[in-house]
Amino acid sequence: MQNTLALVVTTQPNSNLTTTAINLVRAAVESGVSVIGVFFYQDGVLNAAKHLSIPSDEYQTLKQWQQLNREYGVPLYLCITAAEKRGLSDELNNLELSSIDPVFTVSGLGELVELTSKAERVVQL
Amino acid sequence: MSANKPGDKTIALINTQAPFSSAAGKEALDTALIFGSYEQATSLFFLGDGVFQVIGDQKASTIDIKDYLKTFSALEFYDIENIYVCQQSLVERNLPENFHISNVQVLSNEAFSQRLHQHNVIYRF
Amino acid sequence: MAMLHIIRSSGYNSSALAQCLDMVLPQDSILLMDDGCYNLSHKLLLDTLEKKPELSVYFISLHADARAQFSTNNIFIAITLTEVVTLLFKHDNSITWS
Repeated sequence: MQNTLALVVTTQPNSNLTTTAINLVRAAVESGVSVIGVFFYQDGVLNAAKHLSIPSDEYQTLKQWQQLNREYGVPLYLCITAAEKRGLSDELNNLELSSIDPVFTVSGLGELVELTSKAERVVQL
Repeated sequence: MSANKPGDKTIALINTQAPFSSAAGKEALDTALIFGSYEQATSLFFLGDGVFQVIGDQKASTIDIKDYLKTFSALEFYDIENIYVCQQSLVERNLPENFHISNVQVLSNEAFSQRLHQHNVIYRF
Repeated sequence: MAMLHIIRSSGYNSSALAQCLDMVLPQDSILLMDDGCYNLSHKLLLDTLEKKPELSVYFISLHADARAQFSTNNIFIAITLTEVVTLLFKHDNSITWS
C-alpha cells in the first residue's frame, strides 16, 4: 500500500524554508508517496496571497505551489482564521475580490485534525 | 513500523515561546481545543520560554492583550488533562512552581522526553 | 518510539538545538536541514554525540554545500530530500525544531 504523508507549513512565502517544504513535497510525490494534503497555518497562510509580488528573478513560491497542486494533485488547505488575521480574505462569490489564490482550499483547523488523523506520517515545516 | 489506525493517534503540542510577543501560544491553544473537540487524545508540553505561558499572576489585559491564558481553563472540558512542564526550564528561569492552571505535571528532562516520545504526531509552537 | 528530530536553525542564535539535544534519546535520529546545517561543528551537538554515540545524525548535503558548511567527522551522513522522505517513514514520529 502507498505511504501517506501530510505537511504543515508555517513559514512565509519569501523564506527559503518554504522552498525546502516545496522541494520535500515534490521529493515525496516523485518517490511514490501520496501527499494527502499541505496545511497552511500561522505565517504559512501568507503563501496563499495571490497579490504577493516577488521580483521575477527571484524564487516564485506561489507558482511552485500551483504546480504541485495542478500537476500532482496535492491539496493545499488554508486556515482561514489565521489568514484573515493576516489581511487575506476570501470572497467565495467573487474570485476577483478574493485575495486568496484559487489553488488553495479555504478551510479551518478541523482540516488539520483530519489530515493528522488520516496520514501515516505528518511533518511540520 | 506501521502507523496506527486512523483516529487512534495521540497528539502532542509543544509550546516553546513566551505568551505575549508572539501569537504562537494562542495558536497552539486554539489547535489544542480543536483537537480536543474532535476527541483526539491531545497533550500539552511546555519547554524553554514556553513555561512563561503557565506561570501564575500574569496580567495580560494591562498591556492590551486579550487574555488568552484564561482560556486554558477550558482544556479540561475537552479532556485535555496531560499538561507537562519541563522542570529544567523552570529552574533555568528561576521560576517557582506556581501555575495559573491546575493539574500541571512538572517533569525532569528525561521523563518529559519519554512522554513526548509516546505521541504519534508532535507539533511545535 | 524512535523519533526524527529535524533542526532548521543555527544553535548559535536559537535555543532550538539545545532544546532538541535535551530531548533526544539514544534510539533517535537528528536531521540538520536549512540553517540547521550551521550546527555541523557546534560544540553542543559534538558533546551530545560523545555521550550518545548510538545517535544517527543526517544532514542535507545540498543545504550544507550551499552554506559552505561541511564536516570531516564521518558520524554525519549526507542525504538528499528524497532520503528524508524515507527517514520520515522509518521513524515513528518527528519534531521540527525551527
